[in-house]
Amino acid sequence: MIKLKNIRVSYDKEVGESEALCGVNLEIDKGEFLTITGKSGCGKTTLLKVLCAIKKPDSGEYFYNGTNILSLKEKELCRFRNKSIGFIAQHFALIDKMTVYDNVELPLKYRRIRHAERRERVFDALKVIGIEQAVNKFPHQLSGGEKQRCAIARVLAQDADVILADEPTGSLDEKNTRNIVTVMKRLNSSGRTIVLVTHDKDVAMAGTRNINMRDGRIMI
Amino acid sequence: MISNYFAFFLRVIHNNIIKVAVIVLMISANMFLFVNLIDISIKANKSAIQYNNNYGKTHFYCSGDAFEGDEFNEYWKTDSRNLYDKLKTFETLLRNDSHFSYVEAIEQPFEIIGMGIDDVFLYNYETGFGNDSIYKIGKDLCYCIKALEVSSEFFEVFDICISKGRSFDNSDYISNDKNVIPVLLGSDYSDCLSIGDSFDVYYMCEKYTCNVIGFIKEDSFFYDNSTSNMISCNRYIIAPALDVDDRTDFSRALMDQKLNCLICSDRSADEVKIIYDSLLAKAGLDNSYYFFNDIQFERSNNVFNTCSSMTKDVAFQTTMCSALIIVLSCLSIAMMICTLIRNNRDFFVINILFGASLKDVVLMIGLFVFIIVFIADAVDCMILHSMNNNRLLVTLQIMTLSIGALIAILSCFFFSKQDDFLNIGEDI
Repeated sequence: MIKLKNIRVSYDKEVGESEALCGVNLEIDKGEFLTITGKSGCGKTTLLKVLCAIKKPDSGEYFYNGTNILSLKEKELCRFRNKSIGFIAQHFALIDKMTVYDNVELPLKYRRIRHAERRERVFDALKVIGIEQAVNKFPHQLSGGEKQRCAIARVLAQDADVILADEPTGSLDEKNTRNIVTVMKRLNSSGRTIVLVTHDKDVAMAGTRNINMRDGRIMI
Repeated sequence: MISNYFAFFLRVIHNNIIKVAVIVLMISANMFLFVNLIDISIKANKSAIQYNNNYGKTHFYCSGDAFEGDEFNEYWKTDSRNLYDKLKTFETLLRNDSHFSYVEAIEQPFEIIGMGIDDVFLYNYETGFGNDSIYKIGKDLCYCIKALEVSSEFFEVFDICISKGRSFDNSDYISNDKNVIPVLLGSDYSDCLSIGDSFDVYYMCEKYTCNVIGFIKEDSFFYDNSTSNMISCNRYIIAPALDVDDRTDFSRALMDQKLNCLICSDRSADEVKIIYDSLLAKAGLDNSYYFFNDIQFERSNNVFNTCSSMTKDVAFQTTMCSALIIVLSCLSIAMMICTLIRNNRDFFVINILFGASLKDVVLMIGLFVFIIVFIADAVDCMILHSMNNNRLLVTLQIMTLSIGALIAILSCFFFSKQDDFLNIGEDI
């Protein structure tokens, strides 16, 4: 489903150029639950940025279901991010002045879906995740666990094939961490491909495959 | 989708209400200052062109009397019709000559009877001796005020326009039996007198009733031969230079005044002097009675040139200041807006993650800039509306569109130049 070939990404640091990804090769199959672990600065987040097509690598190839993502135009990239990739961030990536409903509805608006259908999908997603009672609340009125559920509901409403999660449990306590892992497992069992970056070994164990990164490379 | 664009605006407003208010005030103040500067600049340019049209090619000379004692006494004898007729002929010849314009603009104070008037209109107000202009004539308390007798050429040569009412027509220059003089008032009189108002005056020792028929446009200027200065009409009463032909003392005095006036021509002083002397001879007079003043011409011409060049300088400086202010303002406002936008970058990043394009982001920024410029514009509109300045209102609308577009473009440009625009590492 996803194929990365010799991906290289470097950042211009003030002191000098530093390579975040040094020729990464990775294949992810459909329905896989891949967890990525590694120390801070090893390139995990950069890899996710490349996967969700918001960071263009310096060199290499990125295929998604056979399509060369790096050759897509801006408009097609937007459509790719909107339809195929769902993103869950450590700090939830919720817009603070929007209600839970509006946050979950956000990707559907860019898909130009009719209002009634949007509404249905948003409520369905909230029900599945179990936070439909918070539909009119603002993010600052939610607990950490609820915020992350809201972020997951957004991905669910988006109906993305691939869910990229960057330390989704990093800001949560143990109980909420367990809940989120359960939800992720459930999403995976419903056929979605999940790529989850984590520091937490227990969370990493939840995946069907785990890879470890070090200094911008995937260690076998 | 549009609601997402508005959501960004509401978010920025909510998080940075004071900063946004400061930006709105800055834009509002700058636009207000700018439209006013532009207005001044346009006015100054117009004045410079006007000066050039009026005085660029026209030379000003003057005619003055040179009566000696005996001749002067003879002139005032009631039976000396011969000299009076010669003067009348000379005046007619001067007025009808096609080589130049003969402009009567004679300073002749009016003594208003029994009507209190603001000090600024008093004859000696500018010299600091305004109180000397209030005195009694018989039982009447009189206020001696600045007034000017003019011929129809005065309005053409000095480009004097009427803001309200009407100007003089031909019949107004002819004296009538009712001793009523139609008058035009300088703009400063608009607070105390209106069209149709009447007041009594002593005019060259005769009692007359002045009837207000109109107002002179604000900041109209005429050339005062006695002081070689451009004088504002704002505090003047303008009366027609009456044509009285009854050979009374009044008409003799008027005739004497009428021959101490300006000659405007595009011809050289030497050429005009030859024509002037020939007219003098034609009327049976010689240089001992009246003389043509070309020294005065040199002085007056310099005054006009100075006025013209000063106006051009002011226009240029004002334009430069306006341009500098607008460029600096736009840059500083754009930078402030960029900071605001950068501080809310996570909003864009989240939107981009879920399908927004760079075009959507630019539209969000554009809408945000448009709304704050629109609010600033509304503030200025209210101020200008309360000032009844509709002309500036139109200028403001044109300026708003230009400034709004410029700020939006600059903001988008600065923002798109951020290399780490999509670096979501810390933003989410």
